[in-house]
Amino acid sequence: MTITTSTLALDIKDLELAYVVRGINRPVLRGVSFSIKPGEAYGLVGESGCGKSTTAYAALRYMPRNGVITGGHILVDGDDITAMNRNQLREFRMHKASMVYQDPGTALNPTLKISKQLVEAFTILGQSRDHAHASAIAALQRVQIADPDRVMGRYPHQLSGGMLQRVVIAMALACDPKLLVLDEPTTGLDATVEAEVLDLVRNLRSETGAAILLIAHNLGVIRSMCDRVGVMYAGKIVEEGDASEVFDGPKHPYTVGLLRSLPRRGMHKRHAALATIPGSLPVLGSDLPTCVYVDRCPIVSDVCRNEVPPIAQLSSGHYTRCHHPDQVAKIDDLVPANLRDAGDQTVLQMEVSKTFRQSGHDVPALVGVNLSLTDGETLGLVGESGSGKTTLAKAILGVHAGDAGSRLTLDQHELASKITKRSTDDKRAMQIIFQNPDSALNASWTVRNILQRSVRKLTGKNKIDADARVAILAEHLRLSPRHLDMKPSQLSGGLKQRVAIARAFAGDPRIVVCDEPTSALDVSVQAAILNLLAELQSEQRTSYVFISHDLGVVRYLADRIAVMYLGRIMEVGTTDQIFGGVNHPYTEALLSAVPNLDGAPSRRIKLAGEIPSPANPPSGCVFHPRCPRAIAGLCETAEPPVVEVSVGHAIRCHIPPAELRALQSAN
Amino acid sequence: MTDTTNLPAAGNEASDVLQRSLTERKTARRERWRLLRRRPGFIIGVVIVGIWVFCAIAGDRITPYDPFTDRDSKYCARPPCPPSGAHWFGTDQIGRDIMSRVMMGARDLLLVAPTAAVLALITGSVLGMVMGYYRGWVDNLLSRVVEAFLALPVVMVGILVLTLSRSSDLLSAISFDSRNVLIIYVVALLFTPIVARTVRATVLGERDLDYVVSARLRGESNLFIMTREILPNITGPIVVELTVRIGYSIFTVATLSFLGVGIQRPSPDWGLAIAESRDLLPADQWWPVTFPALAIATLVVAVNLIADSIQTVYER
Amino acid sequence: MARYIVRRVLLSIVTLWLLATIVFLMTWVLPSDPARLILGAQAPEQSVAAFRLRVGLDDSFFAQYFRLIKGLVTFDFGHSWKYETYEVWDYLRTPLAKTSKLAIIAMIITAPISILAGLIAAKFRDRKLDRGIVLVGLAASSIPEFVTGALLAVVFGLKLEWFEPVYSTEAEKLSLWGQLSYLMLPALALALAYFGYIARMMRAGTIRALDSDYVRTATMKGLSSTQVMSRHVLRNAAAPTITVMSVQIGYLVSGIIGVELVFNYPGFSRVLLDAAIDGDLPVLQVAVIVSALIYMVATLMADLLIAWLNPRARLELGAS
Repeated sequence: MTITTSTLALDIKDLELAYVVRGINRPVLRGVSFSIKPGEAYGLVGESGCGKSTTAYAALRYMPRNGVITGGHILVDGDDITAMNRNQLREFRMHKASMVYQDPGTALNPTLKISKQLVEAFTILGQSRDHAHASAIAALQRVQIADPDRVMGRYPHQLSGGMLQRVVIAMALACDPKLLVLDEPTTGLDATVEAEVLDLVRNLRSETGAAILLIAHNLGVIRSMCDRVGVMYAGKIVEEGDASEVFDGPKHPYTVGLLRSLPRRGMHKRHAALATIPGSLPVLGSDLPTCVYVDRCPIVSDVCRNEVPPIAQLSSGHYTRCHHPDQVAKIDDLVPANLRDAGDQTVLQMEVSKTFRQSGHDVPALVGVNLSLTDGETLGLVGESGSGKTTLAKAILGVHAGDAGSRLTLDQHELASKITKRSTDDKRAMQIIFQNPDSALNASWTVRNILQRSVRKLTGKNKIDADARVAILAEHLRLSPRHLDMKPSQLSGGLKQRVAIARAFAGDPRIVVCDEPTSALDVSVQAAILNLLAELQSEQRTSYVFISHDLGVVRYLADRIAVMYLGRIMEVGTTDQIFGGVNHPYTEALLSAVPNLDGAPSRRIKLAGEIPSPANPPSGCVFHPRCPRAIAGLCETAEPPVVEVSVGHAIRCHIPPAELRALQSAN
Repeated sequence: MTDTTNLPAAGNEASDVLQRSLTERKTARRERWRLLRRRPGFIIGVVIVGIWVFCAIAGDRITPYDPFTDRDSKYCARPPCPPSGAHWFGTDQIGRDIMSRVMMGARDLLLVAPTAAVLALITGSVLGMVMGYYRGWVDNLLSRVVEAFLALPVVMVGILVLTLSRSSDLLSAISFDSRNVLIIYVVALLFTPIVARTVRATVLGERDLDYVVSARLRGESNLFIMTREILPNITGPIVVELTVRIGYSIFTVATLSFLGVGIQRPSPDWGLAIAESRDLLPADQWWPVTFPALAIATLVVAVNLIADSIQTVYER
Repeated sequence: MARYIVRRVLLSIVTLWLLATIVFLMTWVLPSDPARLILGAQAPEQSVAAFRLRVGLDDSFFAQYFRLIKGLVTFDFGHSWKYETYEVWDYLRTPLAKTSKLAIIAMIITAPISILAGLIAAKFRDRKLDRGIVLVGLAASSIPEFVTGALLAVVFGLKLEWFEPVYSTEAEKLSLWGQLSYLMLPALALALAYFGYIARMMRAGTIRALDSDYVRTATMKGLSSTQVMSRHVLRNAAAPTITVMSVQIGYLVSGIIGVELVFNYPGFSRVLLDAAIDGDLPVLQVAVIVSALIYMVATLMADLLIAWLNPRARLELGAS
């Protein structure tokens, strides 16, 4: 063992890993090599199925039951963990490496209090019970938990996701690890909470000097956290280098594709369509003798089909596995879009309140939401989870009726509050695209039946006409006739979402509610779906209510944006108004929480505490307990007024717009 | 244990892809059938059940002796006689060939028990579907009744109903003169709440899925949503429930017959045969009890092997 | 927790009332003439009429119904029809105690063995040992108890002569230890049935826990597999097993009837069957309701135990 390798925190050499399926080895990792220096943060990116999580777990030699390492070595702090026996491996995990997991809610034992689980992490290191308890308290303070004693006495289900992730991090740091592996640590958390957790990891990293391996599908997270990144595709690292070099000057066609399929800062559907990656990931274990990306590459040539691409060293530490790194720059950049603007004829006017009854208590989920929608317009709805976005969508659709006094006006006539009371024309006018196409499409129906039934039910067409309409829909959404006879489970995520969109458009709707339609999809698929939605809207003058937690996506697609908090609209305005200027303090915090892909440092506005329960909303302005700009004596007593900042831009805040502007440009 | 522990999370992304590749090639149903055929338990179960079904259908056409009348006085002067070359399983107290009776004994049981299970499945599914779909007060009310039924020991209520119905004008008025039909109804009644509970839980898991919301948004009726949207998606649990229920049904009918309130004489039913000859045990006459007992054991184990295989394959 | 207990107990009372009603309805609807049923076809009309008057069969439906409900509340069910000098409860008490003795012995034999077997099977999942345990469990739980009992009696009673093949009242003169020779086979027949259910549930619960994310967390902390088992798996695997054990106590009341009959054991089953054949309705009603009550108490205890073990279950049950 040489001196250079022994100084590396993690050194993976030609790692090959396979899953044994019915006695056959299906390769998952095809020779992965990378290393992390002590104190360095390394990020792995790639779409789902590329092998990044498998690599992360392999770094602690944790595999599924059918996983086998078929080649290569994993060295952590100089020790080869592939050669360890069971006890050595245990010692290694105890002292040298730790992990933080994707879902903190399931990563902790539901039947044990936090104290027991956290103290255990110290007692196995040989500490006495009392000592371990003191260490546990200190560990919680270290992850910035204000009242460690209270948290120690709680069970996992009594804590929020962000809090649980802090506990898991505290646990991971118990042994002062040389290597800390984080597998999608913030996926599923709200952007504001995500930002806090990432801040914490950043601080702890400089404090402990542990090397970090970060897995995330969110490129912005990787960019803001990591010194170096590896881009994985089909079980191979196809490009590696300093984060800034890879993100600003990608040299592998896949990296280029990934980056361009994301709506970047300031990009809008009117200016350009998003770039997409054609085709799909090769299935697990398929035979890929030459370049792994050959089937989807825009600059593919004969040599790519015949030879394994060599490692092309670009600068120190930056390499790409491509035959033609010099041609990468020639890949078409933006596809100009040709979309019609939103109209000014009001299609839907909503004044909605909704109160749920929950074990004898009134829980206000929507409070005086007042919004309108014009033809061909996209209204973005943003806010943390629990802010009432989906409740509003369901109230519009009549899935649950709003409170008495709520009014929905569609094209000048009032809508019944419940779907069952609405006419066929009204049902036809409003449809929805759900987040998860797996639950949105009936798994036991064929795609053809799904579409046909919607067409017939909504338009009253006979079978022959309906068939013709289904064929047109399928063509529009680029579904081949072959797909029509399949069941949803036989389709990929992107195709399933296309079917769901086709179904929503079956009866030429006036309004389509899009409830996080791309958040379950990989970025390249997301780009194709967003392009499609924009095109359909432009052709059919459909209006969208677009719910998303991804502000980048909303900024790209929406014409106007409404920001919701605890069932109230805090701010509404055009996309330019929201992203351009004076904001409600809550909007300000939301915007600042988004990790930047272009590497520009963002000033974070931190929010105190967590979203209060809607069953027991704070007095005065509901946002005041978390508001960094709250005015003592006013905000907690009086409901704030809705102030019109400029035409179409309204803010619900006590602070006058001019003052807000001054405060916001001051930082 | 670290190396043998399953790790769903790490396998997720890979297994997603794997799943896709599998379903691309085969439909789920064909895949399940293929997996079933690879399970030795399933094959053994099917063979054994097949043998008993064959015996039940063929009946006295294939038995070596007449199961009801043949009294063998040539080989067996003082019955019961132990197993011999002429009577492989011996004879019973009145000299009838036990092997013939065991072969014939499957008939009533295999007529009554599966029919009861199917009936319970139908009524229970309807009930469970209504409870799970409508929820609210309908569900609350019915759930309490189901709970109450579940607390009642099945065999005891079976005894109660079957004995009291002897003197029931009501039951004879609606022509329950056939004992076997009555048993079918009683067992079906007792199993209905159990099926209803299972189906209700499954429907609860489905009814809030987005495809149901979507059906409502295009104006489908509740009946359509229940029968055409939800039902096809819960056939898995229903099939599993049916196979499990058939096993329990055989178990219950055999027990009732043994207790003397189920299938009646002169049927060569196994449970009945054990009841009639259990007094011979202290006299060291083991064969009249042992062979029917083994018959019941093989049948129920076989049915449960099938049920278990189907369950494993469906819940994979 | 207190709120949960109150809620849970109240629900049990509603269930009890409902099932008593169901039982009453059955005994009301089914026999055309209960007095005739018990006195026999030959009994003179006057004595039948006298009997009807004596036990209140001429009372209205509601009067009879409320008599049963009142009996439940005060735990005073009146007299047996067949043996009119006996109070129903006194008539049932001794056989019930005998049956309980058998069930408890069976539970003591089977609980530790089957829990251990389930754990071992889970730990060696999909290997030969696991398959063996699963198969034995499947067979043990699917064969009716009276069949198991009969086969055990033949093999261990008649052929090997390890234990007595049938029970005899002689046993009651012996010490508990001496009685074991008589009690062993019926208890074993029951134990085998429990074994199947408990071992299967324990295996399933353990596998679910082993596959969970929190066990992964514990493993990654560097805990040994024994530590992971004892600290993280057992507690979580216990819940489904406890549920199954409690539910089994209920089903066993059914299974035990067959076993008692096979071995001529003078327990609950004799009384129940006699009462059914004689048409002794009060005894029959109370016997069924008491069995259901045992089941309900068992499941109630199990739910409370689970709620105590698993705080999340407490939340879910309290909310539902």
